Amino acid sequence: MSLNPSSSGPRSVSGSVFLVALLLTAGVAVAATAGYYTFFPAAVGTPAGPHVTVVDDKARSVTAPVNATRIVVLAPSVMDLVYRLNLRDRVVGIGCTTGIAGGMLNEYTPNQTADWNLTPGMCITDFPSLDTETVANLSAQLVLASTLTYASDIATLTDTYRIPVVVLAPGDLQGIVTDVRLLAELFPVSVTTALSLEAQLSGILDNASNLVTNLSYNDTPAPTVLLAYYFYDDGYGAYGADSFGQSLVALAGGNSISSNLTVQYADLNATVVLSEQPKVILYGTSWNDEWIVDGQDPAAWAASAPYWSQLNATKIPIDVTLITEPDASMILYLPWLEHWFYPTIVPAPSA
Amino acid sequence: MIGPTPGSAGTAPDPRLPRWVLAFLGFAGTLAALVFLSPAFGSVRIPWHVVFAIILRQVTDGAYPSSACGSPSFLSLYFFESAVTREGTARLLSGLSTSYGARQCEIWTTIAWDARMPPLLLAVFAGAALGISGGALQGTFRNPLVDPYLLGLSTGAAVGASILFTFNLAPAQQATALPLLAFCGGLVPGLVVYLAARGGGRSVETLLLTGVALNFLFSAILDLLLLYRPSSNINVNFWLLGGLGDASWTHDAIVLSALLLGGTAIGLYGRELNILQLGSDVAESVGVDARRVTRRIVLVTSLLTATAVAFTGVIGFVGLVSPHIARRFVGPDYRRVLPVVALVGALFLTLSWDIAETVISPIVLPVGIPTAFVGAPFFLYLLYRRRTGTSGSPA
Repeated sequence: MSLNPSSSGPRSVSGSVFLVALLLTAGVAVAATAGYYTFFPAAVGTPAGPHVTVVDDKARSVTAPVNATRIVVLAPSVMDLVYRLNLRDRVVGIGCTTGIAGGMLNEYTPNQTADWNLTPGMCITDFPSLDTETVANLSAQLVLASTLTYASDIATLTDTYRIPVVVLAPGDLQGIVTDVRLLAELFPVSVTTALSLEAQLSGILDNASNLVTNLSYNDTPAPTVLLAYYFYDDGYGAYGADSFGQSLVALAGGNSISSNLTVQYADLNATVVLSEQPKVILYGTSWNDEWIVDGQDPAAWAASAPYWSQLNATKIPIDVTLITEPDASMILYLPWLEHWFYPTIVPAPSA
Repeated sequence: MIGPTPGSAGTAPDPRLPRWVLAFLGFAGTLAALVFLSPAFGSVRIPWHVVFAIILRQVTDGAYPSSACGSPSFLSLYFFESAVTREGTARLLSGLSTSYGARQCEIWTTIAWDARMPPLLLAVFAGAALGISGGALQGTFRNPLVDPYLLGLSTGAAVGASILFTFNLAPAQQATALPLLAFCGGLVPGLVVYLAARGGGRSVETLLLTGVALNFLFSAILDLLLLYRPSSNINVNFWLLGGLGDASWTHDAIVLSALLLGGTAIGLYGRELNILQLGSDVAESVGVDARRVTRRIVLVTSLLTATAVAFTGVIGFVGLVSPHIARRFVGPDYRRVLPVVALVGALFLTLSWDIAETVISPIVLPVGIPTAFVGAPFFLYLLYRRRTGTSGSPA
């Protein structure tokens, strides 16, 4: 190509040609791709047969097959309810953080794994995002999700794979009872078991409420309580307002020293604990705490907590899942808390 | 010589295809093969011949192939796959049927077509958009280190996305607002450089440094937003690393539209970009309005990049490395570099997406990680190879 402008040299694109070209291309592009906006329907869907429409804990209206035979459970708290309703045989997959050392044991305790007969082969990676392809490949008819399930993953399951997702994310202890009822709607086959469990849980909550009323009527002082799920060098991981831990303490008649914390899970400075001198300390022990994994006794491990020896309290280790996972086990554990807070008034539960 | 033409006057015509045509066909063929093969890989492995059948059925009539998994018309591909994979050979030797059952076919179709194809095509279209933007910007600024990231376009988009995460909009609003805010954010630096170019009397170096300064400014704004709402950090960080997992057919259509529009507009300036390599004065002397060309290239690349990163997040190295690869194959003529760099960009991002999906499957890496891991060493290789005089050509 010559540089001589007088010959067949370079031509500058004029503004009008440029504009026309832009508009033409835009038109062609939009016309050519318009069909993609209403693309093919998704293939994987719910099977034929009776369906039921329920409203889940996120106020989503979900239509799902009645008595789904292949379900995926994405949280231990949901698995607890599923197991108690005799639906374990229908579970084909569970959510696990398989990409992180520990795999299934990051989310399920050894006891849960054994009781619920869970195997690593059932694991579906759920962090940093849910492996939705595997959920679809398992021919799942229903996914029971939790508050920890990402909205984008729920959207992929429902929009791309047409797999109904019911979110079980109770906002309070009464919400757990509501979830039992919700599962009974989805699985009429378990309605008898569900009604029985619902009655049991409601009974425990009612008893707790009556206990608090009676204690208040009799002016029985409520013990100060520290409910900690963990401890650090300079503080305790405690439950603040609107947390399940806080609700448990209040329902059992305790006076939590962390009730003023405005966030659900917050660090409580160790000096505050020292000055408050709680009468009862319930400290969560996790199955995968490195100390316990190494075979150390929980009490010996807890002795390294800040100011531990200067805290003159009844110190009780409890399985952290019982105070963090909103399921039936959490409510069933409530009588134990009542007993520890008022050992002379409330007898130890029989089992 | 500007715009070298194979078989110029005085030499006998070469019966072989020109090198740039071969390169174009090679990249296009590789990309097509990758688009057909990639949906086979992921947390659920789908046989190649099934993927092939699914794609062809979808492209031809859109019907779901309840029997496509065992379709005899794809038997030859099945035998090919059987010959090269141990699992396939075992299946073949055991005399098992090629049919997988209608339900399994339905599931694979949804996974391969509805779940894997949209992000794959987004990788193709966004990669092409970033590649051609990088190529055009390197030509305009006559600097081989320029890319959309250097001019602040990507950082601007990140600021737009961060505003959304910082103010924590509802998920339903996020689906629309995120690409929109990212697009607007990405457009701002480009428009500032465009307006600066309109002022006249400013050299390309000044415009380039304006972009660099804007990049720093937007980085500071980004840091400020993250400090204001630390809880949004994880969302912003994931977005900054790039991702294609949330892609939809609609996203593909929008980016494809922008690519066709912007790519055509940029393609019109191949000759002008060639002449700009000789300097603004020479360009003016032969009738090319260098400032106008610069303005328009900056404007179009801003639109193109902002559209792409709005749906992909920030993805580095594609716009930087692709032009270097393209020039190695087709020489410095921008009439040839521009279409080839689009293919190279598409290929680069598609390969990176495949790596992101499979390297630690079932966890999907942010796609910005493999682009950096592949792009940075390759870029260094190209730079040092050029320094030793082995090959290469100026921007």
